[in-house]
Amino acid sequence: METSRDDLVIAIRSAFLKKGAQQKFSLFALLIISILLIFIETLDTKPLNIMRSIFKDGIIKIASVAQFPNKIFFKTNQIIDQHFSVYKENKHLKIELNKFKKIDLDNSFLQAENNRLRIILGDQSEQKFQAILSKVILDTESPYLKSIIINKGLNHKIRKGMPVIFNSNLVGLVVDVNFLSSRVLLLKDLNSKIPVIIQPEGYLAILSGKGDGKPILEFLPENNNLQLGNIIYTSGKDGIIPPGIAVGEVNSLEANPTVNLFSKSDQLSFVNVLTTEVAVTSDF
Amino acid sequence: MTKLFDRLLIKIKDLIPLLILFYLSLSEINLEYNKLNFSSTNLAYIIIYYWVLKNPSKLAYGYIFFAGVLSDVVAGLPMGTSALIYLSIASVAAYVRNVTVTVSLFSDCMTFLLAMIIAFSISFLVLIIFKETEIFYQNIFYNFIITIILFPFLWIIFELSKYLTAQKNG
Repeated sequence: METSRDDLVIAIRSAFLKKGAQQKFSLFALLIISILLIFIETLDTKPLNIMRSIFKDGIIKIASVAQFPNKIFFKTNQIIDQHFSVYKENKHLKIELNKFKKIDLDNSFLQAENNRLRIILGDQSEQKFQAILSKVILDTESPYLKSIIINKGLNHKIRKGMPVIFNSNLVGLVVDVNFLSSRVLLLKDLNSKIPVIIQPEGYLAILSGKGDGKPILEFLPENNNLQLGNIIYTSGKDGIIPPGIAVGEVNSLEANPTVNLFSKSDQLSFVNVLTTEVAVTSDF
Repeated sequence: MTKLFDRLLIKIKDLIPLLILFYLSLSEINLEYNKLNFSSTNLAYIIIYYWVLKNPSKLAYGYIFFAGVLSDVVAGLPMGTSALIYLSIASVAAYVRNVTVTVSLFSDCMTFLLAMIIAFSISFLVLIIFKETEIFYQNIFYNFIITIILFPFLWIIFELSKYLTAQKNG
């Protein structure tokens, strides 16, 4: 019994404390450094934040180069796929185009009517948001976090919480900012919660990411009259995201309906970050 | 000249596990098939376990730590999380290397399963305590299962490559 315990202690010592022939650090020392690093990550002081930003920016630049072969591979794959489906897609797009032409006409009429009614009501407040064009340099969908990294950061006046759009559709929110890069949390991430409005009924709800591609609508009113294809826009209730940005359409009518997002996270090359410098022009 | 080239080739061959580890940590590929997501970082777990178990001189602990830090920055995890996960896997492998005499695929698979349980438990703990984020357990469970299934296949490939290299060197 005594001997087996000794053997165990020797094995543990040998594995954790001894440096091998080619090892400069012992496992134990590095494990301690890792734990310390995690603790340091929780500290929020200016010098540490500056160091972290510089370090992360450097690694992100290297990672964007390392991801280059993957990008080429996936891009080629996409191009081949598109070539094979071009005839079918063309047919489908023609039908869609006719549908959208009709919607566009309706839209311009409604917009004109809306403006007229606003003037009658005396509400001329208008929010102006500046858009900063950014390139997606990393597309990292780890099992823990669904996010993208863009090439604009603190130096370009980007701050945490700013909304990110692509083709007028919401992509996500900025959650981490370095000097030259920022991380955008995608709508499908489990931690993404966005206040939305569902048209035409005007129901308010929270769009919650599920981590698997299709977010769900939570806190909908009971006995609602939701229909498949109802369009979801940001409601602007949080005071950060401007209202009226298209998000997606209702995809299923379950207790928590799923949403088909308009922005496809795997198709993003460039996005716009909306800065929240609100310019209010009001008569009051 | 030929000798120099041969030596260079041997040096590059020695660096292959390390290069793959760094590439996987930096590139973070996510493969999706029928709602099943598999992250390339889990391949790094297999590489670390195998090489620390079989030939630790090819994968120094310092490099493993650094690869973990790189992976954290790319994946958006608290810095040190992946380093801790990678090193815990290396710890299990180093311990197993010290206590085992006979080597078999089955015993390696079993100990790898233990290493994975420890690694995933650490990742949950760190993320829950330090990041306070919601975790998509289903996705992580798939990753865990696929990593376990992949291990024997990669084990065979690595062993075969080792065998072929040994044969070539006479």
